Amino acid sequence: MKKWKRWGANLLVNVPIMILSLTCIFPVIWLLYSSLKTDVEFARSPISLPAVPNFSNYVDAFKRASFGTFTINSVFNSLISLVLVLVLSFTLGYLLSRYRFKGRNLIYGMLMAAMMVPIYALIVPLFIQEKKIGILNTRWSLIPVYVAMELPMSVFLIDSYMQGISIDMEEAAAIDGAGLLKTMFVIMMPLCKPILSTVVILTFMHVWNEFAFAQVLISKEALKTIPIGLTYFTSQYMTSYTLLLAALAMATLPVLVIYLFFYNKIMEGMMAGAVKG
Amino acid sequence: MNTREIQNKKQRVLIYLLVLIPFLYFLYIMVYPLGVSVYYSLTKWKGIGTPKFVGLDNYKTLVKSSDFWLVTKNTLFLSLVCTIGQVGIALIIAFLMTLRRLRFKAFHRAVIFFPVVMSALVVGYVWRFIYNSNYGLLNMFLNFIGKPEWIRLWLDDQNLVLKSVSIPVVWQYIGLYMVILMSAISAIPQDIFECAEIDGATGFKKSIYITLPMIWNSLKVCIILCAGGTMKIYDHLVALTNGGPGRASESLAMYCYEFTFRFGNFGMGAAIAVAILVFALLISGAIQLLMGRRKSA
Amino acid sequence: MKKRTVILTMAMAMTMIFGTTAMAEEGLSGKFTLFHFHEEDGGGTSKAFWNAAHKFMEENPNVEIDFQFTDSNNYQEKLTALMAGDELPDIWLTKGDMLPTFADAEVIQAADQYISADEDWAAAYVDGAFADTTYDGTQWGVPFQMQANCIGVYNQAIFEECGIDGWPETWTELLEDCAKIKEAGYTPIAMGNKDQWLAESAVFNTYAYKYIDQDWFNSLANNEGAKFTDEAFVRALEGFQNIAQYFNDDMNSINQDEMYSLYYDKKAAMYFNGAWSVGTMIQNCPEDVLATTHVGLMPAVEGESGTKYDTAAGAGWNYVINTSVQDENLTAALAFLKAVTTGEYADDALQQGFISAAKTSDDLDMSSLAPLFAEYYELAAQMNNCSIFDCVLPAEVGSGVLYADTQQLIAGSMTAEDMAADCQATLEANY
Repeated sequence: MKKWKRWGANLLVNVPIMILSLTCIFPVIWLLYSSLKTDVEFARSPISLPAVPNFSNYVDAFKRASFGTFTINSVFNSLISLVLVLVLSFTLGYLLSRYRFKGRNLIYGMLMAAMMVPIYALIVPLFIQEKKIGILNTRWSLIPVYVAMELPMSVFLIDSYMQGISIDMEEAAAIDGAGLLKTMFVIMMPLCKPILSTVVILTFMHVWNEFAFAQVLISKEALKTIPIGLTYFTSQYMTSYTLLLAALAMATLPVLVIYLFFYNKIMEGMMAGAVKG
Repeated sequence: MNTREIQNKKQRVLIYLLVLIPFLYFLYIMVYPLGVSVYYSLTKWKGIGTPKFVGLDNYKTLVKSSDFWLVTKNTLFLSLVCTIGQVGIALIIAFLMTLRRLRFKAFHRAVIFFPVVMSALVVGYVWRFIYNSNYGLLNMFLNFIGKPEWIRLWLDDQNLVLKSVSIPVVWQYIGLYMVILMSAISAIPQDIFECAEIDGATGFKKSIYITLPMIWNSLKVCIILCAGGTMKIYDHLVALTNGGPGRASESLAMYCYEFTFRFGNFGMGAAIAVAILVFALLISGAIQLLMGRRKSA
Repeated sequence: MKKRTVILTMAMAMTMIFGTTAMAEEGLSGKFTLFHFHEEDGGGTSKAFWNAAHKFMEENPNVEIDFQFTDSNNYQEKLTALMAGDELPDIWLTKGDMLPTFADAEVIQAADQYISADEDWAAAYVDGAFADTTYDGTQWGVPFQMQANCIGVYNQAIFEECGIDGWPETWTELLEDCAKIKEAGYTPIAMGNKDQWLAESAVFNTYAYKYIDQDWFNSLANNEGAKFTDEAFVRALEGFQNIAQYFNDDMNSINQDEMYSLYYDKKAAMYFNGAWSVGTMIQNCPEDVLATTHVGLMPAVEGESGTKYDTAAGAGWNYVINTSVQDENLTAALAFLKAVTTGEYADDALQQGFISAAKTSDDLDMSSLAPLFAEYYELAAQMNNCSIFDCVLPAEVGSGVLYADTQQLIAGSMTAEDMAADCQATLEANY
């Protein structure tokens, strides 16, 4: 009897998650095999398998969307944004979480508000502002926006994470005479590895895929990013879907790699607690 | 309360400096344009020449428009469903991840995040196959289990469409909140679990009595991010239904886009954006109140 | 890169063979920016544009053109931002509904003054090419295409299988044919209206002209008496709601390409869509279906004033020139616009499967055209071109309420009267 019950519980836990996981892989599989079809095949049925895998789609897509240049730009924007977001949001998040000072709630409120605004309301004012500062349509058009855009969520995540960590370590460090900066970056930052990894994943994903600002703030071919390249398969009356899908597959890969790499960092902490459970 | 005292004046200055540098930068890049947008909402502006100040006219027009209330209702519905669905399911999965019973943990963790990084275009395509009335997987399944009478026009029926589109949106972002919650769980000190086990807490009990209170703050952030974020929902609806039929699955953000970029009516577009902001802040305020301001271990 | 070199070499070879004087001139100088949506490796209009543009640059090496590309789906958004940020380029493409905004703000200069000064250029366009770019009696832009927004495309084999001998001449015949096709288990008319413009702009617009005429529409657009709630227009809405019973059930959730799929798969017997679909058919349609595919004009409705020739058609987008472009830059810009809209461009356009706004040369070999396109070309010559609603009416009406309500009309969730009233109310708020 007991054995049966255990069996049932195992099924109840495993089957629904397995189903969910399988549905989550399906789009990836669909994307991969569809990107190997010809346009005619895709037009006939978007769900069938390709008769002969057509790898040249990848080569064509790479050329047509200037993937070389655009990848370099995307990598540049993502990396610099990532570093800035990590440093700034950790600083803000840590201090907001640990200390009570005047204006703290105002800062919270502003961060919250800016996070809730639809970007389409910000595009034109930002366009005008960048024009005034003189960074419109330059290499530095997007990074400031991306950093500011990613700041609120990262700060909130770090803040809530810090609240779960006791202050013992910091107090001990203070007794040893460690200053604020040392406590923050040398002692506490490594403790926050799981949440910082989460911030890395989310920031990279958002910046890598960001479309609306890149579309409006950049006009020079040499500065455009990958999401803009993905629109290069649409002409006035026709879209070349299979090339688009091949390009999408290439564009998605880096985010998946970053995720798989950094989620392991999250897991190191988690598994330590969970495996024994 | 895990807070610390500010030691001395020098430290106070340093803290203010460290907070103000990123914050002023943030004000300049995000909040100032937001202010400009609020100003636009009080003007009539076609995007050329100087905006003409018209006071609250745009808001009056908006409040009187039945379309506005329809899309507001749609957006609030999606926000509610997504919050319950995404964060709820993510929480359950995060708990299950701590159980020994669950097999293939590494596999699940890896793939449940996949949809998060997929472009809305791909997600839209895939789900439109599922709902398609010709070769749709859902209808095929209903036929297979002998319930063809359950077949509906999933995306064409204006009474059903909103429910149909909410499923893909929920599904796509489970992984996002799963990652956030798992990173919170990973911060729980080991010895707490060990003590609990000695006391005989296992499985679900452990989750409810130990894990949940420990990650309460992160859960709150997830709910606020999700409820507030869904107020801005745009890409998915464009990819799935483009808001149709009529405006039955249109969101506030789509409505805002339509006025700003399709009609070139910046005043109305900005007024809708301000409305989104107000709704989102009200919702996050309510969540703060409901879940308690501070409730950490 | 290779492809481009080949095109350039061919263009050079052609100039030499035909002995035009281009090589002898030293060419123009000047510079300008051009904001456009012609994807460089794309098909149709893009290909013809780039062929002409490369040839122009070859002949005028001293003209510096800064091409700024944004794809057609996102073009309007970017243009709006450029306008609001006062960063408009020197030449850009615009649709009729934005023309009044630009013209009233005096940011564009009228094109007709320059075109009429050049006899060759003025004589190069077909009749009605400038209809969509005329505002306040002035022709502001330079058109580059001339498309019927609606044409019937049908599968002859399915028609025959259902006992129908040919394309219907009248609306009653069409309804009867649809009933037969439905009986035989096919979708009579494929419809892919997810993106909202297809049913209204590419089908209903032309259908409405079977009930109303150009004068009525002008009167409506200029607030001179005609109303959406006029009886004839309401009848058109009712008639359109009636034909929707022969569309596929998921008409509002599949897009244009999925609609084509229904047709390619022989699940649907016909569809109505803009003339651009002819080019798509030639490129993507499976051969067996293409061989039996033909095109026809939308039939007239008995008892109503319109004929089968009345079709919503036009240039849609036009090039406009910034007021700030002057002197040698202006000369260069005008020469460029002439090159990418007339002359060899017109002939090339036909080869690429679309009709430009300019006359083709008399000695063009029509037999080299794809058969389906040649068929359309003949029909296009007979059409009576009428204004496209969404190119003329304010966007709030043309691509706002008209699109959204048509979706509900064909879904059966809105009555013709309600839609007419809704459209009229929105129009009055936006005159």
